[in-house]
Amino acid sequence: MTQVQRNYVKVLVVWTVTLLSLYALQQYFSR
Amino acid sequence: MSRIDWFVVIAYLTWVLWDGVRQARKSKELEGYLVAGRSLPWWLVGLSVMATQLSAITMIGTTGQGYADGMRFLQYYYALPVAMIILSVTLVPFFHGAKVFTAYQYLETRFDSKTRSLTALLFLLSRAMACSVVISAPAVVMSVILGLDVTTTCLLIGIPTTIFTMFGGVRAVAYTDVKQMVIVVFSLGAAVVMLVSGLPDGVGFFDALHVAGATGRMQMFDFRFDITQQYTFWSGTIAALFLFLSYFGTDQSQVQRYLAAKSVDEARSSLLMSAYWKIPLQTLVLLVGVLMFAFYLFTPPPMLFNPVHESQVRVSGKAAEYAALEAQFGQAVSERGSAARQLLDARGGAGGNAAVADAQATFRRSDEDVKAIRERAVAIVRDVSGDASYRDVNYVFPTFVTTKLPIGLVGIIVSAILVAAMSASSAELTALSTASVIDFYQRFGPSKPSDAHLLMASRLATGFWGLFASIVAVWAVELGSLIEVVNRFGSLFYGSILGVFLLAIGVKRANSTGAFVGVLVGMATILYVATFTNVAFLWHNLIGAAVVVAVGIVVSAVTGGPHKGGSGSAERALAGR
Repeated sequence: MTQVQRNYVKVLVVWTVTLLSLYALQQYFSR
Repeated sequence: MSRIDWFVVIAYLTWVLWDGVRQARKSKELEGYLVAGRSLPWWLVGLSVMATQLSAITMIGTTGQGYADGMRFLQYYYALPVAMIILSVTLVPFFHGAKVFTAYQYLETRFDSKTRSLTALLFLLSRAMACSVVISAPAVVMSVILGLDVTTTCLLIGIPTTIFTMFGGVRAVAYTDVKQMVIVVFSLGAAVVMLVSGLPDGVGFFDALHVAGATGRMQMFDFRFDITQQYTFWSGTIAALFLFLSYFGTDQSQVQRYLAAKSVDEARSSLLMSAYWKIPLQTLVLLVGVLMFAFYLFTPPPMLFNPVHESQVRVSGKAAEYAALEAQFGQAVSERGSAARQLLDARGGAGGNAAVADAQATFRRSDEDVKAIRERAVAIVRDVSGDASYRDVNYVFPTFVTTKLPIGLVGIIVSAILVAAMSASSAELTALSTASVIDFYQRFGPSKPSDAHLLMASRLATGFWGLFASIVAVWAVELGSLIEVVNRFGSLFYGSILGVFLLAIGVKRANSTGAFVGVLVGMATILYVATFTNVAFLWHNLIGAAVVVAVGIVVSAVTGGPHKGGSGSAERALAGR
């Protein structure tokens, strides 16, 4: 895997973690 | 505003203007002026890309949206990181290798001159209007806050922007963007700190978010699949993907940013910067709005945040109705504050989930009462002022800043709002100037013009578009919603422009007739959908792109396949230039 491809994977991982965190925050503060 | 705050604003704007003009010494040839000699580092381009989207409208309108509606708007940005990866893989290396100045140059090589002219013309028409709205929308709000007239405020933003962009070109725009990002992020962070410290004793940051959450303001995911709803998870991830592909991949104001990067890898890294930071940054902007809501639960807010309209109403025939409404508002706000405190007590008490649910229901009802009274007050303002598009939420953040924050910080945040307007409009000006000179003047003007001639033409074009945008901005204030309609009309065509690029790059058998007819049918379809259906505007991008590609394929097949040898030859032709 090239450096550029590794960067894309990193973006996708951070994106997924960001969305999951936001979802968790929504659930926590809306209960 | 105090004299110290005015001093901060004037000093900051002077520095931006002086530093922008200074960049002229590095912009002495066309490539230096239009794409900064393709020499900018990734972080500078990345900040510039992010700053272009973070206009004054974001600071004023989005914080107001957070106050009134909560975090829901965040869903709009969920597809952005994916769009950035797709563009980094496809269009970025393609444009960068081709050494073009505008995205539309490629369409002539791939199809023909009329397809290039049509897309470039669509860009010029829509962005010229957008540029004036970028100036006029914040100017209307800031004129009230600063106590200046609207024309002066429009010119205060438009004229310095035109001067530094005319002299410094893209390099000046990029460095102004960096200054903007630093001051905007500092301002938003400072606003969060001041809002939290302004909450009453015993109410902390997390309590504020819990109270906001009880009214639905912490909702960031709406999984309903309803194409008439503007902001849902699906419109944000599927439909918005097409908007971002079009905006970052084919809109000259964005493409020009990464054409200025020193290599393909630096251009890719600049886009990935937005992929990492756009959602957190937008969360911060909306969080300021949500915290203002919490702040004004415990500190009585004005019924209307625009003091000028309020004074107009007080001397109008509706004065008595307004005064009665104000008395009801005071009562409703007081009840809502008590309900908020009861909710916090219930959360910390021994009553369990039933007590919390009860307190939440009471609080939600009291918030609805306050909202209903404010809506009636806004309706009175619209009636008295004749301004049907008046939105009081746009005044919430500027009013909070000027009435609740300490001297000095007010000047910094007001500077941030003004520089955000300047930076966003300067990016539009360079893009308008580049498309005018490269896509029209160079082709239809004098034959074989020298580099110096084109550089002078570009500077004059920037000056022309700057004056045009400033004058239309002043005029836009008079026309109000009409300019908004024109601006919205322009934004309808993003999907169609993306469609023609998809056709050019992805469909080898597509020809120029197919592309041209495809764009026209795509635009007509979107106009129909926008006028006669309730489909939310994010979906227009997907529909537009799909129609252009489908019609383009059919018409190309009927008219005899590719005339110019398909996309492969176009890529080779561009790469060899």
